[in-house]
Amino acid sequence: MSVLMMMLIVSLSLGLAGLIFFLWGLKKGQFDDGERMMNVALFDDEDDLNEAFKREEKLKKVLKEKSAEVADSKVV
Amino acid sequence: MSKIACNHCGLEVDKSLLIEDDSDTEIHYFCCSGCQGVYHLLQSQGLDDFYAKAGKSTIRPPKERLSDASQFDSKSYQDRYVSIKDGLHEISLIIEGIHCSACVWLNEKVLYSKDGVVKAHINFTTHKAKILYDPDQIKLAEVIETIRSIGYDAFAYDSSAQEKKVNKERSTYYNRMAVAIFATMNIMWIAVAQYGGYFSSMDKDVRNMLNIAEWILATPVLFYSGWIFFRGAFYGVKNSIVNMDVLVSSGALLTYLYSIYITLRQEGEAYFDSVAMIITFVLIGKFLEVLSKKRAVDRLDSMGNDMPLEAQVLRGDEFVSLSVDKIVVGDIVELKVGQRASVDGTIIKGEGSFDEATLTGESRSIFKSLNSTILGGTLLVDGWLRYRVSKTFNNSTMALLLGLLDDALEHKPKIETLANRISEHFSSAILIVALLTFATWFFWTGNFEDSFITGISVVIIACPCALALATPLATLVGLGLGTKKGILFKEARYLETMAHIDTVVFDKTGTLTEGRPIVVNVQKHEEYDEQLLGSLLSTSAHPVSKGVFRFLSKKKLLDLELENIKNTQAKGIQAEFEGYKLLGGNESFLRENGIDVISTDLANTLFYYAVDGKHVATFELKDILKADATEAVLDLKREGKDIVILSGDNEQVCAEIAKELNIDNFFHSLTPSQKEQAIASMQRDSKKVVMVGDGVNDILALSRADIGIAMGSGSDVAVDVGDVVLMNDRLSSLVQALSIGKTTYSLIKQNLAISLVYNAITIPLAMAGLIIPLIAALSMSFSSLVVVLNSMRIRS
Repeated sequence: MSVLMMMLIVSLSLGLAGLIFFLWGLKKGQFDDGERMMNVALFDDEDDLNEAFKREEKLKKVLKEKSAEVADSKVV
Repeated sequence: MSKIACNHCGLEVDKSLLIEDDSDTEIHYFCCSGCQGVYHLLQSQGLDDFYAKAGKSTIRPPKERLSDASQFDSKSYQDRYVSIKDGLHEISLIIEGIHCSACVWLNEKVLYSKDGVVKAHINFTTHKAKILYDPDQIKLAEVIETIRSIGYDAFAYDSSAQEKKVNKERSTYYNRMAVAIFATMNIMWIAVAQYGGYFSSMDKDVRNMLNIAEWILATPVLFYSGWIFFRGAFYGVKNSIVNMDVLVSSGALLTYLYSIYITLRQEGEAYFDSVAMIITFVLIGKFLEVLSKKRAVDRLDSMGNDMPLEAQVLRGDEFVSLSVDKIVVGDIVELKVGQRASVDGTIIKGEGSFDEATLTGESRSIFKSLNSTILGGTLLVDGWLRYRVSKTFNNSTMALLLGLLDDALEHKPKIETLANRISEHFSSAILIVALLTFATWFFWTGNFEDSFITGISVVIIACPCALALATPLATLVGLGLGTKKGILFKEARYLETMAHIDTVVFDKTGTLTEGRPIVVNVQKHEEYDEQLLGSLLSTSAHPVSKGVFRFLSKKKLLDLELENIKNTQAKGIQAEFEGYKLLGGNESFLRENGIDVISTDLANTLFYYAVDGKHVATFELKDILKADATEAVLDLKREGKDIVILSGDNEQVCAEIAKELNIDNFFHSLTPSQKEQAIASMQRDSKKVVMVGDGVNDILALSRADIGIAMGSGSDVAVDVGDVVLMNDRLSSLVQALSIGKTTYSLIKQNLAISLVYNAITIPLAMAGLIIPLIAALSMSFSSLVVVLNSMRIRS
């Protein structure tokens, strides 16, 4: 009985974790583009991952500058 | 000679033709300087990974481009396509020339390497890119230049709010379906254990525990995934309509509550699996419907393709490019060959021939000179002129026409689908039957609990799964059939409407006919050199010259160097070649040049040709019927459809075409709104009308008709407005479209019949209280399965 209960809980929470990651991917637009999904394996070596990180940094930096500018203009 | 592949694009060319490049340590070969340039660019930026990633796929060599990118920085371009987010600019581009995933990789990489570009995301499937950039660091023109520099091309498109809305709706459906399918699959394996236990007497504790697990899993399915049905039911009840959503949501909710009661009482059978299955199946059916929904017409977008954004307007002493909405009444606008007039006005200088087919459907071009009126949206095919603006852009003919479009679309009749009509009756009937069952049982037995449960079991067993899947599955098959034959149904319900059509209305120009003059007769008076005539004609863009040229170019034509070419607007052309004097044009043009014209009995548009002052040949041109027009009309008549022609062209031309096709009912010289009125009056006689057209002058009629069918090669607005598009332009596809509609409709009827028969058998059993859970579950899946299989049958 308790074994059965444990099995249920373990398997359902494993499945739930999968579902949550799937929904997360959906939200991030990972499945918007079927072709990209199929090809992405070609572009995930170390360089590409570093590159992706740099791109995110760049976006953050520019956004920060922009918001600083807006703040400045308000002060003026 | 050996063939060697170009080191950039992979094109195999003879070695002797390749450019040898030894600037590196080893020798490279290129098919053109464009490829060479791109190769070195990639090397210098350390992007030569591209070749490894591209593998064996070949790419297109870069094109030489003449147009400069500076127009992208013009204000009107920016206003239209660029959206601003947190001080950053975002633009949607379509990138041309992408063949493989390495191309996408390269474009993204190069774009990211530019300062100021913070986001570049290219869709692999559609080749549409979203680029976010900082306008202080980089200009749009520079972004596009970057893409061009590596051999691709890009242009902006209007990513409309509509597109975003549709995408959002789809993504919420994906989420709801993911949850529903996950939970239902888990419930199913638990249910298998329970059914097993039902026969081999399971421990009560175990069964209870499984019930609770199912309860937990079914809750999000009902309230998250099934939210759509509760919402639909709410709006239905508010408008006092008992729709399918009412049945689905009330059935699922009652079952759910009943199962909770069973679980807590720890006796009897819970039906959480039925709750989850009903919601999941019906949700899938609904998703299939959403998937095939037509994107609402985005007027701005369609207008952009036919209308120029800028015009040459006189400001001070010179003509400057000005955005069309800045033009005011009284401005002077210059128009050159091949340009479209953006606003209405009157000619003050110069003359020329106009192609007004987009507005009037008139197949012949119209000559206009001083003081003639120009209509916005018409195309200048030859000549040069200046005109005074009489109406602003928003009041011009073209803009007004598009304004009327909303009105016409609003009045489009919507034929209710069969499934909707049935489900309305079905839903109320089931609810009443359930109520009666409860009342009768209570009256006979006096046991409230048993009576209540039996009443609920009627609702549960009247599972609408099969009913909900009947239409979407059938239309999916119909859409697939259409796509295979080059017929694009923009929305699934048009398949059903197609089966009710009794009147087919045709536009003439471009739909029944080719839409351009074609040589039908030649009279040779003397021998002449066709090569010379061909070269003469190639200097003119007039539709008649083009028509004769196409006729001649069936043989091989050389391009001879003519001298002293003179083009007289809307009359003719003359030139010299090695002492010969060539002259071609209409009758009066030849007479004016002192040539004796040999009279002829030919009718229609005529083109005369003279060499050294002697009339040598006459060509007769006509807008002829499409090859399969006669047969298609005959097929439609055989099926008992009424056929009508509505044309903007003059009476004589229309009468001739109508006679050739043996159609008695034709109307001529109609304006776009008269066409719409004609269709509206047919609809008042309760006819179901299909309109087939291709031009801007047909858009009102297309949107008014029960189904508007556009030719794939027609104007973009017409294709946008049309409900069905014939991609191959063939009229025989029209006949096929009608028969696909019929097939689909009979499939829908079969599917509905299957689900109703299923209900006719099981509902009496439920009323008698004879349903056991296993039979309920099995029959439910079985009915859905039969509907699926029946639909698959047609596919082949």
